[in-house]
Amino acid sequence: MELSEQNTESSLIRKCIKGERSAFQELYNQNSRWMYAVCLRYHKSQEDAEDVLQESFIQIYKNLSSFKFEGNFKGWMRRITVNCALAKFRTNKIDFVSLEEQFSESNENVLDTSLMDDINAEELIYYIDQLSQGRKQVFLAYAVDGLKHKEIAEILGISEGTSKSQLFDARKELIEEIKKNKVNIESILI
Amino acid sequence: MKKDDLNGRFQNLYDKQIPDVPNRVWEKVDEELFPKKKRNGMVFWLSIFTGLVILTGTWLLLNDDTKSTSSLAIIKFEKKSKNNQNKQSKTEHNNPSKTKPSAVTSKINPIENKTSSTNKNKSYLSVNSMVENKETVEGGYIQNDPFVKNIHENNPEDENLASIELISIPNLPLLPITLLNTQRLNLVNLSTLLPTTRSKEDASKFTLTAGIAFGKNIRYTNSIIDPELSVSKLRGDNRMALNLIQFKCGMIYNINDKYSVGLGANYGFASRKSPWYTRPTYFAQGQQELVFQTLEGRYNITDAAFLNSLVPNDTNNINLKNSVSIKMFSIPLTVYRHFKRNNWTTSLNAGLSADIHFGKDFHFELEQNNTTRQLSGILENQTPIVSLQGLLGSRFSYLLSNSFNFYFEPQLSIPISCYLSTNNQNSYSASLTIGAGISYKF
Repeated sequence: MELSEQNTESSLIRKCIKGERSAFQELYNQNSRWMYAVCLRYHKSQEDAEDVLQESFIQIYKNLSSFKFEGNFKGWMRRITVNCALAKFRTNKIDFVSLEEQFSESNENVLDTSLMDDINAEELIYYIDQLSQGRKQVFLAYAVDGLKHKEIAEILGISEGTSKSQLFDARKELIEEIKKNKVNIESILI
Repeated sequence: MKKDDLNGRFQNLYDKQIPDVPNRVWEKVDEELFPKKKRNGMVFWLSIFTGLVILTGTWLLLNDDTKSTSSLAIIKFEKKSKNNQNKQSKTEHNNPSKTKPSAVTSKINPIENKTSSTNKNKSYLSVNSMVENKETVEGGYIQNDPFVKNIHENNPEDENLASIELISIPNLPLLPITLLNTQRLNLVNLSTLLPTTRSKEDASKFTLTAGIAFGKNIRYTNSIIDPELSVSKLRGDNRMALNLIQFKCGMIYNINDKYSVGLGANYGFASRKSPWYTRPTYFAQGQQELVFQTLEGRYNITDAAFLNSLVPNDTNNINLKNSVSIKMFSIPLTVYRHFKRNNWTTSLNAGLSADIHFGKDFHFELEQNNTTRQLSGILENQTPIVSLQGLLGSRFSYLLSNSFNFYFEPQLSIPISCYLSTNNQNSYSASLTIGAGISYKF
């Protein structure tokens, strides 16, 4: 990010902290689109995604004074958005099947994820969308948005072990689906 | 696949695919985070509502029909006048070509005797016609205005009069009003709408305010204006009602968290009706205020700058009388003690006013014949009147939206006053005023 851009962003944030409505509207205009994309990743329903986006901006505004100008502001906003998106699942009471007992840290590396490199993003999104709700959100939060299991567990109100097992299952399911489809494609080609 | 790669691929893909963010999202965020907009809207609509109420009230006041309240006065006046007419008709019988004033008439309207004979004739004809039909009786109030009479009687000789020669005026449109001087009006009873300093939060702020008030003043008087005509009896219960409306503006500067100073101005109108005035009279009045207030109370020093009355004429009446009186010296002081609870403020107020009135009266008469109109004028000194007025009142107000720059303060005030003066027109009055002010804090 350019220095002048950073200054502009900082001054915008300071104005928002002062309570200037026009500054916050500018902040909204600059960031609402990519944040909406994040929301849509977690919630297929546009209505739910809009709710999450709305709640995210409210939380951003209320917590602006706690933002330290050292880090990446967009990253800070992304984290709040993901938190809100996950928190909505919590309010919707998605069932998480606890596989804590079956899951061990060593299992995480057993899966062959090299298959994921062979497919494009559109295909990947398609497969992720096929995942069950619980697996999908943990996968997105961990693999895409970079949250730690501890954070995911706190937001969703589940144990860390459940979060890990959901991620494991998500990966396993994804790879199986990709493999299955790959075989089908190869058989067609032959 | 690394996380960053996956994230980047997702981001690029979603940036291409996502629809625009619906406007309703921002609207909801805005509504949630910036409710001020909505509340300012509330203040705005309240202001509109108050404005409508006040306009309606003003319209009702100015269209007040006094016929019902003045019917008794008309009947009695007619009886008296008919007696006078009998006496007068005997005189007219002796000299039918020249009408002479009756004793009563000359007392009613002595100024006419000091002017030209043309005016005298017109005046007497007017009195005669007053007896003959009720419509003109209602238009004959000018000759019975106790205030006008009082001013004239206080000028014992012609030495105070400066006559102005007749001036020819080509057909000017007739003004439908007559300006008369009155020596007193208890409009000072109206409490100020300047905002009250309520808390330390309000301190160090400069506040501009504008407001409007309207209400009713009922006055009981013990003055006897004309014993011969028993005018005081004609008044029946000695009661006069004033309908009041005042426009106010002002500013308050809070020096610190306890003390503030302010300047205010009231410009008002009033309409008067009573059993002894057959037509409503309209008054214009202006006064300035110097306000010093603390969190607990307020000290007002008020100066009434002008006080004039406007009386609508019968369109057939070509008499035009104007008078300007200035209250030259006045020391009114009103002290308010505030009692606050949440947004409510109750104020008790006590005031004392010592005044000396003197000034000049300008009487103009417009005379009309078939071809020309002529204006004659007389300049007259007023006899000084000393008055003392005591005031005791209460004021209730409720503050809306004090957390924003705009705030709205509707109020109700009920002052009671006692007026003593050297011209024996002592009176006691009570007022009920409703008003609202909108202020902006800087």
